[in-house]
Amino acid sequence: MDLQKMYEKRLTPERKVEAFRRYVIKLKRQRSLNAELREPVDARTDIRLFREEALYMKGLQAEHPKPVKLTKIVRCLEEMTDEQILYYYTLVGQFREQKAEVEDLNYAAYYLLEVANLIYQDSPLEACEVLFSFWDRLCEKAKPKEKFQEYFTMICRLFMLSNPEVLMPVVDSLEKCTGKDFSGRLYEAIERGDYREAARYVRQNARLLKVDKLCSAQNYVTYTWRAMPYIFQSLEDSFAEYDFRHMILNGFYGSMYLGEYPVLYGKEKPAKRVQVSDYMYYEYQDFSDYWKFWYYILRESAQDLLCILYYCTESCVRKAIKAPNRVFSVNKLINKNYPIGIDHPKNVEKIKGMLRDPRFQKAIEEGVQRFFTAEQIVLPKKKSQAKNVPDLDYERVEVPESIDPKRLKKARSDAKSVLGMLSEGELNYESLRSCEIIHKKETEAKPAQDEEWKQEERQYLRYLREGKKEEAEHFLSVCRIPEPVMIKRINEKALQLMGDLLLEKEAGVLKIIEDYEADVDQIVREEA
Amino acid sequence: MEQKVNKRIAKTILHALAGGSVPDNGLPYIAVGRRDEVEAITQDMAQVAEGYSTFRLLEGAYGTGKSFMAKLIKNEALLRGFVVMECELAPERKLCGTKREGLETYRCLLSRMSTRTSPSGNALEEVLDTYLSHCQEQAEQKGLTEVDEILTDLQKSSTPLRQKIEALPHGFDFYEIFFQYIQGYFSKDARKKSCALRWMRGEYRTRTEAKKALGVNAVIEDGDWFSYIKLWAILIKEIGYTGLYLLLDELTQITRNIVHAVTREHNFERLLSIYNDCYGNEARYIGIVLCGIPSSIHDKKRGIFSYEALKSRLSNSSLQGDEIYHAPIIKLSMLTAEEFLTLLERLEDMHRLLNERAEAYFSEEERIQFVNYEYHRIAAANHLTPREFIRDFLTILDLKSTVRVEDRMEDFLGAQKGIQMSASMIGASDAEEAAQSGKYEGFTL
Repeated sequence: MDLQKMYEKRLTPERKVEAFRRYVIKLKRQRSLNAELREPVDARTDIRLFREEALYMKGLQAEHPKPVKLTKIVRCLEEMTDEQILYYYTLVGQFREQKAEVEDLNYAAYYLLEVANLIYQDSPLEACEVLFSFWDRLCEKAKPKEKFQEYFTMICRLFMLSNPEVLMPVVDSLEKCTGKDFSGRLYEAIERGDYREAARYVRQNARLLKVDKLCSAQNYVTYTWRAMPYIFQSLEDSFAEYDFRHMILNGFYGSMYLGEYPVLYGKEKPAKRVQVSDYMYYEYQDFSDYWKFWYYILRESAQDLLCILYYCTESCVRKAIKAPNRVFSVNKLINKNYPIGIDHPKNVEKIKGMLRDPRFQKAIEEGVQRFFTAEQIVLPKKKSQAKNVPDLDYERVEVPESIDPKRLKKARSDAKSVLGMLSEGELNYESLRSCEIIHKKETEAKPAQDEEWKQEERQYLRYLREGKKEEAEHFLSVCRIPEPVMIKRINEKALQLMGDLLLEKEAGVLKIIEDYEADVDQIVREEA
Repeated sequence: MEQKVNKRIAKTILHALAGGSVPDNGLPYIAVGRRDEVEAITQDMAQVAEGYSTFRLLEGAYGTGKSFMAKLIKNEALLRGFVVMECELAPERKLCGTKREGLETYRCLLSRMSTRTSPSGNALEEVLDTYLSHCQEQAEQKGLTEVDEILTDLQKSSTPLRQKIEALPHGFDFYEIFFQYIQGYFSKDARKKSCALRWMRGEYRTRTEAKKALGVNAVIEDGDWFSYIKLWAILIKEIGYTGLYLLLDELTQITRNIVHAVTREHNFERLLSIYNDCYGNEARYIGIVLCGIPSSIHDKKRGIFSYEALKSRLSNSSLQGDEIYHAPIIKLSMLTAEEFLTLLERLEDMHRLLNERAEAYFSEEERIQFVNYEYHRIAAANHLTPREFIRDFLTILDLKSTVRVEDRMEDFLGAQKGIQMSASMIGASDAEEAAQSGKYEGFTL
């Protein structure tokens, strides 16, 4: 695509920047393949187009009295409001003197982009110096977030792409400030069979893993990373035909955009490179069918595979050190990242197939075991098999051998004495046993006066028996006795004389207990 | 009439047991194997009546009879003149919580206040009105008829009560509301009465609302509901009852069932302060009984014993042995075979009484046979509860008294679908003979 035309079409800022990025990648690719290159001047012209607005603004004596917040990182001025642009160019003066505040970080990010685009410097070497010294200054104040670090790396890559002459100093500075491999040293180390470097590579590139996980102080995370070299060794031992070393190497290629990643290739033997896709290459070499198979997976899924290696190892380590299980299983993680029918189902199937291979799991377990042995890590002892702890809340029943006459006698006498202890025991239990009908003896003395039914109680009962609720209420108001008090009196008297309640309220409705209706009739008749 | 009373109790008991629930009254007749527990509880009641407070935990596995014991305690307390408040703790009713769960418990306790004459609850109004009716009678005896005169007289005569109440935290507010209830009662102001009742039941949510209705700038809150229970105990005692009994069931709701550790700890702290109030004589005339399954007490992570302060207070002394009088925790164990046998005898007697039958349904050997059968059947499932045991026996009694009059116990047991008669299920005399001949072993007397 002609960048000039694209720019004229006034695309959205994001699309413009993306188109520009792709364009630069394309140029770089053509350069790497020794294909017919356009004049480098072309590229510079395009870059200049991009710089146009910034250079224009630079000339303005912009000043904004109040701070204006910029809530996200922007990639071109069009993404800012007028106020933000004015404020940005107010800040630029400070930035150029290496002064940056934490709250102005997003503006500083855009400043980095402009530095890389040579808005303020005349030569790329000067820009390189400013870029890194400004970055160091930012890092002094507070460690920028991972996302911001990635952004800075991306700017450096763009800078290298547009100015190949600063490639070496930029790579060196980048390696120094990020600690990551930008020169291909890891690649060479892996090729030599240095599994420690391979593990470092996995750690750097397992992008699906969360940052906090990579940095976690949990034992199982630390052990997992430390166990990685042993895992690779073990995988290579168990899967000779898979050639894991090359699998990792190809993952190294497969997982990155070559255009963005400056790798130093050996000068002695110019390697034959094969284009895989617009942004991807691999170094051609002899490999088996297995290798083709692995390459196919790795081309698209090297990152995921490395993550899976991590997760499988972590599961194993967790088990060994008795750490709690992870919430998701590895299979769940794969299914989550690759829902059926999306992305590359064939690859996913193959990864799943590999996971199903019993040798894979076994190799990982062996690798973890080797790690623990080699590093002399003391593992928690195996717990003795949990005993079948009886549930406290259920009492276990043991069938007694026989009925003990002594105990039976005691049980009977205890039950009898309980009746004596409790007030309800006034009712003679013996009468129940012998089924004797206990009538009041005629000779028995008449109840005391206060044990007899009072006139108002009889009257009230009569109203209730006849179902005259209104009259009953009226009667109570005349007597100046509240209903609950009357109920209590009657029930108390009933308890004294009959041993049970006469009245009860069911769902708020007062009624005479059915069994005693006849008795109430008798009480009422006595009144008459 | 007395025979009828007995019959009614018997009917109530058998009806409830056949349905698998605990009867409302007549419990002493079926209280077998609980002599020590009953003795300890009656001892407690005597202490509470004297002005002390007690705190007991009824601990028992599922089916050991916690609910039975709780009901037994309730009935006994009512008969002894106590006012009983009961509540089953639940997710929305705890000792305290962020969503006024403590206050909910208080409300539940007040709404389920019962007395001897109102055993099914809602006795609050009755309790207060009875006292006031008594006051009214006294005033009439003195020849006072005007409301103002009666109130002035009552104010004078109730000075000791007021002083006792006001000596406790929140006492001034509580007495103020109580007096407003009195005013409402004598001046026949139903609205005032119901507002005061509403306040006393903790149903005013905000102070503004309470102030508007009653002129008191206070409401019962989640954090102080037990202080009001203490006030209730004093009031109840002073107006003529023996004291107050609180029954809280489902202890597991404030232990194992609270997942959040902080909330659980707050509940434990509240329980601890209740315990301390009981034994520090802060609370008077209160008996508290809590019921819970063993894990709600002994669970290492969530049980009451996970809270050290409670553990050290509630743990039974190692020197105590089987004596449970002074142990805060009363452990209910499963009934023994002998106790089950005694229970069966009682049930059979009641059934006979109800059916007016003079001779026994089954011989002792047959009852042993039934016990043996049930043990073998239910023990296979590990958990034996009296509920199933009793229901089976009552079914047999019903059949025997109606359609299968001639059948013996072994006919009933043999007819159970899918259950083979084992050698041990044969009658005791046969078993004895067989044991002598070395054929099989079974229950023998």
